[in-house]
Amino acid sequence: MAVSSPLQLSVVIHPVVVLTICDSYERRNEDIEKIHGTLLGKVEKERIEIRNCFIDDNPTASGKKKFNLEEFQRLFDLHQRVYPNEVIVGRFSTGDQIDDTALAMQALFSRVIESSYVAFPIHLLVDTNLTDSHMGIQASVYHRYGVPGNDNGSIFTPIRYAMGYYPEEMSASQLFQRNLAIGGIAPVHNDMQHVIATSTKIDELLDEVLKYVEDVTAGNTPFDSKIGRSLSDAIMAVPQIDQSVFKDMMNNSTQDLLMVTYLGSLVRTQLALAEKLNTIL
Amino acid sequence: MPTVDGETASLSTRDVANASVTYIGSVSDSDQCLHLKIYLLSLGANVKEEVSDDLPTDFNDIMEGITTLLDSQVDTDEMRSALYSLCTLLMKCMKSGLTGYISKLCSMFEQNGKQDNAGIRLEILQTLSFYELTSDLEKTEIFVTSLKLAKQYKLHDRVMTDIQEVSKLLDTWKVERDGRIIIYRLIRDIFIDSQRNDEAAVVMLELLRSYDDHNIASSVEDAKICVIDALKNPEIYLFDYLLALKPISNLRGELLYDLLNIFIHEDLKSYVAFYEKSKEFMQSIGLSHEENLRKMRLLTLTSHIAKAGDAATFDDLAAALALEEDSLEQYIIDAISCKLISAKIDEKEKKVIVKWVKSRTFGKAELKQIGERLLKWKNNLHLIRKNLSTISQTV
Amino acid sequence: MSRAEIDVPIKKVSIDGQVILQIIRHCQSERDSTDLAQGVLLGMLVDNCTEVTYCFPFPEFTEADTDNDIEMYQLDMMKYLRSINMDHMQVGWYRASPFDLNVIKDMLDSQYTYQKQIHESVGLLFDPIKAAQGNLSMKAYRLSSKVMEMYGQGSTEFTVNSILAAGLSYENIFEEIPVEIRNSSLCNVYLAQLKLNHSSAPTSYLTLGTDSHLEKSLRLLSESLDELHQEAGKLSVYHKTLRMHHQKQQSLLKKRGDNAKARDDDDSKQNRPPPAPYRLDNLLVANQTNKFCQELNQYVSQSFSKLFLAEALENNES
Repeated sequence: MAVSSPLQLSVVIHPVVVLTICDSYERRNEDIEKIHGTLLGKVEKERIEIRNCFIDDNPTASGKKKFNLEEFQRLFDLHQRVYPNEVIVGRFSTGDQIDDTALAMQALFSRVIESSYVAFPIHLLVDTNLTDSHMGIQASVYHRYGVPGNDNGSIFTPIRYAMGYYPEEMSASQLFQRNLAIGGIAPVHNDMQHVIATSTKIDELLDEVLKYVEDVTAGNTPFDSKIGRSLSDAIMAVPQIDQSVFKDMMNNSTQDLLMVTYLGSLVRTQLALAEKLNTIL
Repeated sequence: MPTVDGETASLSTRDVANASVTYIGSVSDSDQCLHLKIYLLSLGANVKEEVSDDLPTDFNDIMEGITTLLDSQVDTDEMRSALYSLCTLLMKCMKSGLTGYISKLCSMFEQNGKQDNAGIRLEILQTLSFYELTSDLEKTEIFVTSLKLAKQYKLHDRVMTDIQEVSKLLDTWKVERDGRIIIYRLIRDIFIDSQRNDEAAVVMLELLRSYDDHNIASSVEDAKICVIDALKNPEIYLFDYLLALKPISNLRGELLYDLLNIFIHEDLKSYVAFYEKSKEFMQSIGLSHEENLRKMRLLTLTSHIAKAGDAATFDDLAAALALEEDSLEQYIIDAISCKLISAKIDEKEKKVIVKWVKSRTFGKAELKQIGERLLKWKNNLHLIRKNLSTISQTV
Repeated sequence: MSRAEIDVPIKKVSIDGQVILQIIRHCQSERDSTDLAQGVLLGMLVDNCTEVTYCFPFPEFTEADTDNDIEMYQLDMMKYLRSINMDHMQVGWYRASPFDLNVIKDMLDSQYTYQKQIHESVGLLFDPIKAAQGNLSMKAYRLSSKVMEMYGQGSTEFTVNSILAAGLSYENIFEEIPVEIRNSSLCNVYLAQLKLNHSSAPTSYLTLGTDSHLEKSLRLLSESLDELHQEAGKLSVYHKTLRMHHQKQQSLLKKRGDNAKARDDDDSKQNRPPPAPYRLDNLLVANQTNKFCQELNQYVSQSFSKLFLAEALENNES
């Protein structure tokens, strides 16, 4: 393993993991306060990407069900059939503290699962109790401490992480965030509405920049020539085409698009006509 | 490859406040101390064999033996386990209200240890900096020690060097200006050691911003280094941002300041005059005269075109730049590729058709122009958007 | 099952955000393989709305895997989900359809199988290409009950007359159901916390270069028009043969005169009218073509909007 210290690790978490944890937390059995599970993902040198998770079976009311390693292995095999590149990278638990159960499971996994996958297993703590009105998500690395011959305990040291998104995940997450503002439930856009939504976004960005310019002119914000230059660079980056060339380009594109629309309508008319004729015969 | 939110993995400021170290021990405190003591004794440390029931006493005793551990040849995993054991004992002591241990540990880590265990020392320090009972002052101390260790043992990727993140942390810990200066200097040294000169320049700017009136006198060296680095950098042509920094405007009266001014405001003639007058000074700061001539020519070209616009002819430009016409074309092409101007060369008419020119100084006037342009865009977009919305509703 | 007889109309489909992200993930990992990502949707029915709360992907089943393997896989997954209190009722299937290319016959088959067993099933089509450019596109489809009945009796049922009688047209084989996204409150807390960097949002769809996409769409359209043409050819051949058969019948009747009735039984074997052609394929191809046209329209309107926006930024130059 190229990584000799957890300080070199960079941990990236995909939002689907946290959403799955939240959802499973809401579905837990009535008498359970926390849920636990396993984290899966991809390891590339010093970068650990957490992409998915399994939830442990909920213990039943009559007592804790012992964790069945065989069943877990079967589940993992099922998973590997679809995602052959994913390995186990750690464990997660919910609540505001890592407790004994979580610790026991983490220790079990570190022993049983091959350490060639990831040198420093991660533990993710998701605070579904929302202490301080905030869902704290904390990633830690698990170590055992003690002296040779006498193992004295385990320690979880926090590690920095970041959220990672594929482009599709980014669009989905932005859509979800936008929906929050309008009450949390929303239909999916079609193409044109999407362009309008983006232009609204551009509008907001322009507002922010204009506010900055006004502030600086009024003297409220200190003038920073570096920011000013980046702004001017950004504006200069808009390609400045001659009016006539631009008009030509517009016209050509418009003509192409109109023609395509015409063809489309033609085909649809043809379809309707064909159907009518067929049924008459 | 998925994009990561933010360039480096980072905890938001909120999560840093909430991050906590969790440890779960399986033996009693005194047993843990006993185990550690026996282990240290086996390595030849000078600790007492017995344990009392008083944690602080035992812990102080153990601390005496840690130097031996750090200087020994013990392998990485063993060292890590032992030091984490020490770490948990330290945290327990802090829980009972005792202070001063972190400082002691920091100085101990600075003075003892080898290359092999430097990484582990950094790990322990980072863990302690996340512990909730560590005060802001102690966290700053830990950070400084980490930077020193990283610099000494060349472990540049194991310590936080992202300037934006670092300034956020320093704000949270309410570090004073003097403290910041020390930290920024260390970070700059780390960048220079790992050949990341661009980032080192950025740190220098941050460093200079940390000076204020009461310690401005000590900033002169740093200011000079900053100016010389900028002038030397073959990719930087616009220097007016430097004047905004207090330590640099403090250099007024020095020769270096005059040179900087020439690069910002004056033209080729002034530079050549300056060079003739102060040849010794130019040699002492180590800037290449050829390089400077090239930069000044490009800058003079920019100013000339900015003033004359489309009326700039080759003759005028060649005169201003003291060049032959053949070399002039090359300079114009260079200026375009450095993005100082955007233009086309009209060879027949021997003129330059200019699209836009960067201004050598960027002031409030330029910002106002930008504001006007943006306002126009905003209004146009608004109109179009309204139309599109009405159309999409009827469709 | 008696439930299938209760014709509860499904008015909308509500999907959890988590499911969308899982589907995206599956499509991401299958991006380089030739097979399209597909899987099962799970959830429940609430009033007139099918709620989708979980999904799991199908691995690529090779030819070596039997139907039994596929069954076992599904059963194992369902067992696991039951143990963690997930809804384990299958409410449909999903599939990635880049460029909105969908193999209609497969769609019809799958949706029929699902809808037969569980009435509320929906088929979800997801376009990963559009999503990567910033526009999340999810479409849900069901089969109308008439189609269910007729398909159940075999594809031979789809003759011209039966289609007319059922009032079917190529437009309403598949019903599109509006899709809605919902997240639980806890998930919303998390989503509100996310610092989504707007500048890293995918905005590549804002480019004005529309040519390649148009070309591709038009090519697909012309291919499906070819197929349509073939189907129309089949119908006209049938009409011709039918006409010829009638003429033969007439001439034979004239010749035989009174003995026609006695001979009819013998002749009927040879003089059976040609079979009516199956019109199912025709319907499907027509549907596909119609879809393409609609997509094209959408794309064109989007391109026009982009052009106008660009004009807004350009107008004040010089």
